Amino acid sequence: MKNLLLEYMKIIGYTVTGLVFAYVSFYLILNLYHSMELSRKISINLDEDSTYSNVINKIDKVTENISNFNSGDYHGNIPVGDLLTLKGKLEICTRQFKNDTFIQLKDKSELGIKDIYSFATSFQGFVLNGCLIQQFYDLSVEKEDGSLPIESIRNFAPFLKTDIELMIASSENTISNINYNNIYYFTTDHTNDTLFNKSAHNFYKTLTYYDKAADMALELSNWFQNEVSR
Amino acid sequence: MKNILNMLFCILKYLLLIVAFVSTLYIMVFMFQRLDKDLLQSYRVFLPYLLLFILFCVNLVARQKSVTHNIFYNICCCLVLATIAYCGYRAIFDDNLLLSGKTSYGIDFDYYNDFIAPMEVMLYGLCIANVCFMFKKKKEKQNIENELVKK
Repeated sequence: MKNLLLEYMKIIGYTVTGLVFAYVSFYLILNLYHSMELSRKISINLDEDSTYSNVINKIDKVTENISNFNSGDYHGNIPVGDLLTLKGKLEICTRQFKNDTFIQLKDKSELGIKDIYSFATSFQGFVLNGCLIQQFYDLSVEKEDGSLPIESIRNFAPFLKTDIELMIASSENTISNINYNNIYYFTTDHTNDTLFNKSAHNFYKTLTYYDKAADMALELSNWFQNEVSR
Repeated sequence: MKNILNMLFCILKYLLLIVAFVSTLYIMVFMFQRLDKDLLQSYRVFLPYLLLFILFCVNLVARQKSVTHNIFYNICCCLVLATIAYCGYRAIFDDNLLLSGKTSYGIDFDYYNDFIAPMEVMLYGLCIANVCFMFKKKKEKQNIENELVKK
């Protein structure tokens, strides 16, 4: 009886060790695969992608549009103070657009998941917060008496408001897509799509947001240029 | 050859036990500090470590060759403890885990938290297996000893 019990103990011992061995092997391979998956890089060639150069060109155009304004020479109907405020806001915006992360992209040939994440957060920090929200959003919000901070841009105001609000929601979604990349399971087509492919997709998506935001700044600066050159 | 390998894994498992324990302790200290909890509440995580350590000590002191010379068990121990150390390493040093940059501690707690339950299961599994291997029939015990003497 004792021998039988000891024999069973031995069998249980090997069974448990075997189970632990199988489990730990699975876990180790899973982690190694997850680590490999996260360190994959995407190749980019911004010389072939027109969006990047479009943004640079648009920002240069904004700088050009606002640089010629001299308040002493202006004799139009719009208060000079309003124009000076708008010029200041556009100047701040051009600086925010040309942040280090964005400029350094040109020298890179491949991007890791961390680069894509910092690109997306730099868009949120510099362009969305520093430019669109802090500089432009308040221009689109009516005061209690129904007037706008710069009344002359009333035509732009609704579009500014809607576009900025849309961009806030979409960019937040972009970041949260890749933020939770610490979930480690074998990647099926579906999870692969939510991890690596999605982060690659998010890079181009963020670049498009840069382009849209640059469009807004360009639109305002074109209006500014037309007004001051009358 | 088998004896040398066995000896190697046997020594390695003690070293890895220390490494795995230290990495877990390091992460748990900061995890509980962040949650404003007392570290004593994390005893559940360290209990299997303590049990395994006691069993390893018993194996050494009582010269239980049925355990210390079981190459499969030794390899399994090394794999489990190496995996724990590797997961600890990833939680602290893997920059690609984006949440690690979110906290000022530089540790991806979310990733490691998912690993705690499997870690406990594996460590308890090793403890159970160790206890099961401790008891051997006298005849079998004698055979193992004779074999070792021959070698």
